[in-house]
Amino acid sequence: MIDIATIVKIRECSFFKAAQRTLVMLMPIAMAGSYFKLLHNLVFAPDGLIYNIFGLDQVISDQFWYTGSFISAGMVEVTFGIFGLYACYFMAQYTARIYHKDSSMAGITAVLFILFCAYASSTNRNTQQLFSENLLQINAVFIALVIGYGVGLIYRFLGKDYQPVKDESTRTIQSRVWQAALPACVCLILSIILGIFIYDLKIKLLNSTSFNELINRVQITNNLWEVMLLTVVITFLNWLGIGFPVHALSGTINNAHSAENLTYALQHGNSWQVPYQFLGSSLINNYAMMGGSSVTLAIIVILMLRHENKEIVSLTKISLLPAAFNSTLGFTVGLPIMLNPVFLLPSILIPLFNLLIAASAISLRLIPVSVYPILKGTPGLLVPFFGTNGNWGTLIFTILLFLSDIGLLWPIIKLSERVSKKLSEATQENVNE
Amino acid sequence: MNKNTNYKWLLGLVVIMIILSIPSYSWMKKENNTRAERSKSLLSPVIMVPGSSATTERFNQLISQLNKTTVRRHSVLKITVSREAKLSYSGSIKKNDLEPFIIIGFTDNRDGYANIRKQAYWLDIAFDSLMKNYKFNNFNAFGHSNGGLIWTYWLEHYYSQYDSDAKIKRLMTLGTPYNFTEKNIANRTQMLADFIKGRSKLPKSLKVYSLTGGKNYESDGIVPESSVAAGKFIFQNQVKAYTAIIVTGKQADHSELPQNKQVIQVIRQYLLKKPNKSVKTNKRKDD
Repeated sequence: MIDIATIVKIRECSFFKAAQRTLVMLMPIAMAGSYFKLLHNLVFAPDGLIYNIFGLDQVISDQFWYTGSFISAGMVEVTFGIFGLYACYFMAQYTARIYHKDSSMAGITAVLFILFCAYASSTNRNTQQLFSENLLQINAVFIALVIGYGVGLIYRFLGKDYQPVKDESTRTIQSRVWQAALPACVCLILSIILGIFIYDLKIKLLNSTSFNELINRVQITNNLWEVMLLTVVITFLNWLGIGFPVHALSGTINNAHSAENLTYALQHGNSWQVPYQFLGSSLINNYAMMGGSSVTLAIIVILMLRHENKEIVSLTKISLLPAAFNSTLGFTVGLPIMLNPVFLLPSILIPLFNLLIAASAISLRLIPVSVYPILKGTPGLLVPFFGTNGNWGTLIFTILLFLSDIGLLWPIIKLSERVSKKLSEATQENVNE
Repeated sequence: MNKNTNYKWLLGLVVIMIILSIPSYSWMKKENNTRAERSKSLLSPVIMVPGSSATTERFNQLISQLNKTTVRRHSVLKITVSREAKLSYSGSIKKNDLEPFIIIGFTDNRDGYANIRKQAYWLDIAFDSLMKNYKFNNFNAFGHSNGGLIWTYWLEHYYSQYDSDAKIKRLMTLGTPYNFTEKNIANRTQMLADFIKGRSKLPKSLKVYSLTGGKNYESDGIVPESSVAAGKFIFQNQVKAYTAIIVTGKQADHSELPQNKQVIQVIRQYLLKKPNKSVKTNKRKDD
């Protein structure tokens, strides 16, 4: 069905090549972010799972809690919050390196470029916030990668060829800086032009508000066809590295429709007959994404069972815990799943499959609708169980659904292993030449 | 390739999930039960806050007047919050009373913006305890004089955390000096400026009634009419409805307002549930 040669070809094109290298390089940062996010969601958020079920409200002192909250939130901010900055630097670096240009200078130029765009799109000029965080967030990493790639390409066409020197003297660095002057200046001018567009035309460059329309639609639609269509859009964006919509759907949604569903369930003691059976937010978050962990967790489990490559197995081991609790970014960046052509179709089709099965089960009255609020950090596989006030049938259904996801993904993983084998062979040949 | 021991990791994860699930399950059942009770509850209290220098006894006369005209009397619960945020209760909510009066007063009931902020905090302590002890999903608020300021401050700073559990339907303020004793509306006090700045946090579904006494053409004897009228800068075009009413005639003096017959009429008409049949039978007796 999927041709290996095509995938290898796509992977060989410089954008994907550089993007994959960048993401793999940034795995430690994403992983640290995942763990601190996990800690924050479970313990240091007022609606966190462990914080509530163990009554930590009474147990730990205010001072300790606020310190913990400060640490976890701060670490999430410097990892995920400005992830675009790191991504942009390495993307420009790897792109320049592919074309044998001065990669460090390209990286620094790209950082300047993205920071100016972030500055231009920050709306609250007079507050302390200097940069619009939205542009730098991991949820918009695609934009950062595109900017980094663009800068890399400018170096490709305007920069002088460069061979790395082992022991650089001040003199050689000086000449290096001057050689980068032309592409750096062009980038500077381009960033100013783009900044003017963003600032004057008030273009919210992938600001989360740009997605409000999409997110609103998902939250209020009860039409299964529309939910399916939106699932495709959202999961595609997520694969691309724009995670705002998926992120906005996780957790408890508070809108008129979900409130009506909840009120019905509270009044009648169950959620079988709620007015909105196929509410987009509930279906996507509970079944399609399983709280955000469905595809990622299934891939981790398969890789662990297959036990093919040592580095990858280590990666799955450290990713297992956060991914089970829906903090999946460490793994999606580290493998990578994000922007990896092999995983494009599964990233979209598996959630769609889950959605369809769940919607059928709901309409056949096999499982009730998930309407009850859930705590932050509830493991993805248990989200539907708790969302239906502990309906055991739903738990069994979710586990079976997850197992069938694993079955569907198994051949894909085999394919991806063959692709990476081909790719490393190709690299080997390049080196030998 | 060495032996695959990764299944141990997967097993470990399953064990962790099961260990976490057991307390989560009972927590969830309890929480959803409470939610269901709250959702089914018909209880809709009227929570009253007196003004500066007044205690929880401030509304006794008002309540006895209101109770005269209903067969089923409103029961009264009084809560006093001390400086250390300790609560002391008197009275009780009768079991089948669906519209009880709850009066929240403060040991430190001095005037001034600084103290109003403190009182709003104390009000929140009391409200939080009410939410834990009584299952209601909506309520009405009433504030005399500074009591209205305390409510406004509380709505802007504390209410959002209860919003999904208990909705405030109506707020009635009586002779509330939104601009303190300032007669000229051009001179906004710090408090009024803060209220206007924070108005976007006021609930959109709230209906506000602001009553003032017209003892003379300028004031109710203590609070200038223009200071009460400044409430429009806070509420108008922000909440669902904002109505201003001026009460004149006998007992239009600031401190007499809670006993004023027209005020009682307005409370009955706008703040309480629509009068049921019993009111008619009572009226017939009066005639």
